[in-house]
Amino acid sequence: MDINAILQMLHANRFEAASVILFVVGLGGMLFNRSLFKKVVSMGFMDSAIFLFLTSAGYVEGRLAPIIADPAVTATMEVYSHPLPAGLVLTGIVVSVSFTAFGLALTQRLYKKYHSLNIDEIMMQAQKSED
Amino acid sequence: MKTPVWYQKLLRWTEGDSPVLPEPAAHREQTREPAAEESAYESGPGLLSASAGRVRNVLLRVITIASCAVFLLIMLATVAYLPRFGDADNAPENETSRRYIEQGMQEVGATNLVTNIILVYRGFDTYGESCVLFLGATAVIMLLAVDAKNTTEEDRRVLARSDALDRENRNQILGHITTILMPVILLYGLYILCNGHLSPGGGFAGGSILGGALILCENGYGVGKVHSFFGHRIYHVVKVGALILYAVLICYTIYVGANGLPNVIPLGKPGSILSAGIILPINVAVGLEVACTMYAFYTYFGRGDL
Repeated sequence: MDINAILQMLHANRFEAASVILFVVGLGGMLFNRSLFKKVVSMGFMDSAIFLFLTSAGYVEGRLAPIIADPAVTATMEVYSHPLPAGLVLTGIVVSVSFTAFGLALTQRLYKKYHSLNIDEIMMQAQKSED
Repeated sequence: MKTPVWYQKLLRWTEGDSPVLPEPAAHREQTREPAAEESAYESGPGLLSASAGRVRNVLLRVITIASCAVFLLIMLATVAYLPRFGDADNAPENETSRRYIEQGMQEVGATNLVTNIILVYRGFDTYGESCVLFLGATAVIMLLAVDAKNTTEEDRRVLARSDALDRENRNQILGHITTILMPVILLYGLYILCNGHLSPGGGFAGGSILGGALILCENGYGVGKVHSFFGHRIYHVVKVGALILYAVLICYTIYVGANGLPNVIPLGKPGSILSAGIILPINVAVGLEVACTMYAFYTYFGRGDL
């Protein structure tokens, strides 16, 4: 398969492709940053990538948001886009908020104890206090 | 070539040495002291020489970049073979979605189909979510609360000094604007909270706005204003009460649904504000829970107390 066809398919799925790139940016941030704070921020990047992926999975060209405009008319599948991915995104957002708060609280405690956000320095000081 | 100063600063910053955060003066001597050991540690275990340690670091970096790149390529190749974006024949197009869209309003009663799903069809899941929020707030309180175990005398002094500074230099403009904005924000939050079954919004969004209103109140009127009407006791009662109300409602729905019993809560006329059975009380409960959690996150991170 030549590269042109693959690029065309990627363009057709551009939102998913963008979410994958965002996910890898977050993953790289988690791996490369020594700072604990920036690790938490990178985790937020990965969360946003998942949300983008889920929302783009639920979108259908030309259909309305899944809120029934007129209750008198019987709702059909052909009018509204898929409601389930939107519900899953909500679950993800709540867990991501909780995770961010918990991670930042742990980071703040570590900073208060070791006066550094650098994970190497924290490990070194913890090792030294163990000896 | 000489590297510019800003680039060295940037490198230091990305390495996690934060020049932004000032080190407390009392501990500065302690952290400066082990500089020699530090460099020895960074260059690897004692057996390796300094240059070998540097080579190992570079190697690790290259391996990490390569694995990230390979991961990205695999994921992009997978995305290229996914069903086309916006196509009607995608994977979510199955009998589950069909049931939710075509019969959701008759079965549950809300015109917002997403609310139907998250609060009734998948209500147990959303209850778990509320518990995650509750546990998150509890963990933050455990880690950051100002009490005998967590804080030293110096921390308390710093906190008291910043409170005194805040009381002296009250921002008058922010206070007056808060007075003007507060009713509007509260009304907007309540509107979103109570219209969750009719329009986008619901407990999580409305609760966040109400929590934001509490945070604005704390900032605009100064420390202790919110505490005067929203202390520990009220906080715990509201938070636990909302969670228990949610649990009771969801247990009732599951029990009735699983045993085929008639539901005594009327569904009402779809589209009116008092409709959709248990969705409105659940939205209110979730909203109170989220508002308390947001405010607790803010104030425990800032001052370590409500």
